[in-house]
Amino acid sequence: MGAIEDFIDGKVLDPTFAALGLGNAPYELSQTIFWGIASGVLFTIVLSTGGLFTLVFRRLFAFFTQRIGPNRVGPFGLFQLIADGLKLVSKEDIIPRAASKTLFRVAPYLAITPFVMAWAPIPFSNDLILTNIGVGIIFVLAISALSPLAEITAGWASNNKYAIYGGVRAAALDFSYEIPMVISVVGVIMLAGSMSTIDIVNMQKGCLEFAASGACARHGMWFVFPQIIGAFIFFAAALAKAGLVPTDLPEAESELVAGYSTEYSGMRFGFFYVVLFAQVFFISALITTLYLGGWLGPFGSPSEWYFKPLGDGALWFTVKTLLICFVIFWLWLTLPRVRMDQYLNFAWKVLFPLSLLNLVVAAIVRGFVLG
Amino acid sequence: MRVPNAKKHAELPNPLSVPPTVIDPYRRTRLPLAAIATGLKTTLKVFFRKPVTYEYPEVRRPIAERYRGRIGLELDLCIGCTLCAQACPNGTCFMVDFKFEKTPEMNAKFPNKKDKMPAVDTARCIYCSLCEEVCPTGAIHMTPEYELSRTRKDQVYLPVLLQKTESEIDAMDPAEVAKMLAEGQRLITANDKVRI
Repeated sequence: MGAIEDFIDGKVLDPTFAALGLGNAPYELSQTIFWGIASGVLFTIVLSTGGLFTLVFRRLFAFFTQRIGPNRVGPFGLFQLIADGLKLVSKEDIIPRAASKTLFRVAPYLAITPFVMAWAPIPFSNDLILTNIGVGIIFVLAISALSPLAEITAGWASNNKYAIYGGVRAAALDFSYEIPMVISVVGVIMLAGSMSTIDIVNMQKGCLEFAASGACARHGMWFVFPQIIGAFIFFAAALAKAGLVPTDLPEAESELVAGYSTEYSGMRFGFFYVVLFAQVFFISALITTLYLGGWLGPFGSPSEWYFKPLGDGALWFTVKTLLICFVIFWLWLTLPRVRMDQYLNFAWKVLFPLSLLNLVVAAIVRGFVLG
Repeated sequence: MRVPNAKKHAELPNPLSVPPTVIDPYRRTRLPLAAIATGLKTTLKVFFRKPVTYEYPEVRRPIAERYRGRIGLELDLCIGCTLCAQACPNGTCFMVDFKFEKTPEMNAKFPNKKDKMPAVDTARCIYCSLCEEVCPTGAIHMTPEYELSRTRKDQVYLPVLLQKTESEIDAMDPAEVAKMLAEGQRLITANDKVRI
C-alpha cells in the first residue's frame, strides 16, 4: 500500500513536475488521477459482474429446468457474454421517429450512473472500500432512489404506450417500496449506532473476535438475527425496487412487451439489461453488508480464517454475496409475477406496518440486549 | 306453455338474495409463504437433477427399433413388382430401369424379369412406410438414417444409392454421386409428367 499512499501524497508526480520546472505537483492532480483510476476499476468490476450474471442467469435457468445451457463458446460458455456483447454492439441502433431523441439517448446513462455511484461506500472488506463516508448507507439509499428517474425517462421518451406503462409502474413500485426499505434500514442504523458502512459491519463482530483480542466487551452478532423481520422487508423491497421477479412488473413481458425498454435496441438495451443483472449483485452486497456481517466470517470467526490476498475478508464478502445472488435467481426461476395492485397492497398494508414493528424490535434489542 | 320443473325452480332461492361468497380479490393482501416454500423446494430438487439434454453432434439419442428413416433397398430381394411405386401416396417412389446381376440361386428365388427397381426422392418422402408394408419380399425398407441434410439440390436416389448407407455415399466420389442424383432428378421429372 506504500506506493499508492505515496502517489496520493503527490510524491510520485513531484519529480516530473520538478523536472519541468513547475515545483511540486498539485495535490488535487494526484488525488484526481488516483480516485479516477479507483472509480474506473470499481465501475469495470461492477458492470462486468452484471454482464457475467447474464450468462450465470442463463446457466442457472438451464439447470433449474434440467437443461445444460450455453456451454459452447469458450470454457463453460464463458465467452458467450463477449459474443452477446458483440451482437448487441453490431445491431442497428433504432430511435423511433416520434421519440424524444435527447431523452431517449440519455436514459440508459441515467440508469447506469446512479447505480455505479451507489457502489462507492459498499465495503468489500475493511480496506477494500472506495470511500468510507460517514453517512454511507443514507448515500446508498438516496442514490438508488434515483433509479425511477431513468425508467420514467426511458418510458416517456420512447413515446410508446407499453414503455410509458412500464415507466409508471417502475416509479410506483419504487416510491412504495422506498419507505419500508428505508425504515428497515433505520433499524440497522439504530443497532449499529452509525451510518457508516464500515461501522455497521464492525458492529456485527461476534464475541469470539473480541475474545481473541482479550476483552469480550459486548455481544455483537450478525444483524440478521435481531433484525430478521427487517432483513425480510429489506429483501422484498429491494427486489421490488430493482424490478426483479416476482416483481418484474416494469417489464412484464406478457403484458408490456418489455416495459420501459420496449423501444430500445442494440447496446442501449444492453445497458438496461446489464444494470438489471448488476442490481442482483448490488442488492446482495447491500444485504451482506447490513445483515450478514459484510466481510466478517461466520459467527465472528477469528481473522486467521480470512483470505489475505484479497484484503481482510473480501472472500467472505464475495461468498456471502454470491449466495444471496443465488437465492435471488432461485426465487426468480420459481415464482410467478404478482399483480400490480397485489404488490402495492403488500407494500402499504404489510411491509409498512411490519417495518414500524421492526423499528420497535430494534429499539428493544438496542436498549436491553446490546446496551 | 307448461314448464315441467316450474315448481322445483320456484323452491330455489332467488339468486339476487344470496350474499356473494366470492371475496373481492382486490381487497385481499396475503403473503403465501408456505406456497413459496413449496415452490422453492420443487425447483431446488430439479436443480440437482441430471440434465436431460443430449449434446447432439457428440451425443446421440438411442434410435427406436422401428425408426422410420430414409428408405433403403436390398437389390438381391427386389422382384420389380412395382407395388411400392403404386402404394406411394405422392410419387416419391417410382420404378426405373435397372439391371442387376443376381447370383443364380437368388435369381431363381427372386427373379426380376423386367429389370425394374424403385428409385426414391428423399426430399419428397413423407416416411409413411407404405412401400415397406406392401413389399412382398422385404426388399424396400426403412433404414435408421436420419441425417439427410445436404447442400446439393438433387435428392433422388437411384437403386445403387438406395442400397448404401449415408456414410457410404459420403465416402463415394462426389462427382459420381452428383451425376447419379441428377439422372434421378431427370427420371422423376419425366415420371411426374406421366403421373399427372
